[in-house]
Amino acid sequence: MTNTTYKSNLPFENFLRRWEEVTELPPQQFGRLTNVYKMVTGRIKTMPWLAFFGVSALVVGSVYFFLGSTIVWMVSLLQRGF
Amino acid sequence: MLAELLRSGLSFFRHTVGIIISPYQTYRDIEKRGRTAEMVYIGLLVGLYFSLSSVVKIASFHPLLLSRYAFVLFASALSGFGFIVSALVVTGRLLGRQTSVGRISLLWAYTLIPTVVWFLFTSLLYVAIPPPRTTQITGVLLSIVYLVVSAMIFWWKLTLSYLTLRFGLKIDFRKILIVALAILPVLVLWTYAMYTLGVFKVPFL
Repeated sequence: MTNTTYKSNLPFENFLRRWEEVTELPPQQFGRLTNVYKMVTGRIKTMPWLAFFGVSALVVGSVYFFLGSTIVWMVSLLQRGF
Repeated sequence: MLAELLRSGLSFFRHTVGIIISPYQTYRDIEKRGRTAEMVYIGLLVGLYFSLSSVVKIASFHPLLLSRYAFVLFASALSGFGFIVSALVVTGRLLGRQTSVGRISLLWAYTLIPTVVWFLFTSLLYVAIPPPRTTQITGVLLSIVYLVVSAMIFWWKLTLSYLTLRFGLKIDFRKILIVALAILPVLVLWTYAMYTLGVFKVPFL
């Protein structure tokens, strides 16, 4: 009986694992909007806080623009909501 | 048992830091290598928050009252968790996806971390600067800061919820929307029930 030893090929194993992980999920297709989707998700996948801050500031700024000081009432209500 | 709890504790810490820094890769890791016992730590975190919020809400140090209130909050939050996980599993199976309840539970449990963060932030602010806010410049500025922070936590929660469906059910964006719309009535009913019972004004989901 021969004793065969296999040399581990770590970069290939890592590549294979990564490949299996990526192909496990169905790809997202939005036609012409696919690039927009990829741009948005690209900003959220790692360190999403800058994107979250930008969108939040924009939304709250718009709400303040339309509702004015009514947001003070809204915040008082939310603060009692816990 | 103890070794498993310690390993799960380390894994919980790594995943909690991960969902702040790199949510996508971390959710992939939770789905692949997450341990069910990590939910114990999330449960402890939620329980700890409810104990704290009971002190703030009741404003008394009566142990019986505090523990009763904290228990009601915890049981209600657990019911919401159960409803959502069940709804996700059922709708996932209706779409032809065989998924494990344990995986979906673990993935959804991590979405409770943004919820705890928002509730904790609101409770601490309630103690530090109690409402109502005024319409003076300081009141308006504080309101804007509060809303921006709340919105940021909301986007974080939404991202993690999306990743739960993406990795838990392995479905595309269109099906994620279908599942989200399908479980919406369950969420609305649960939220309304909690509001009517006087447990949560803002749903703890």
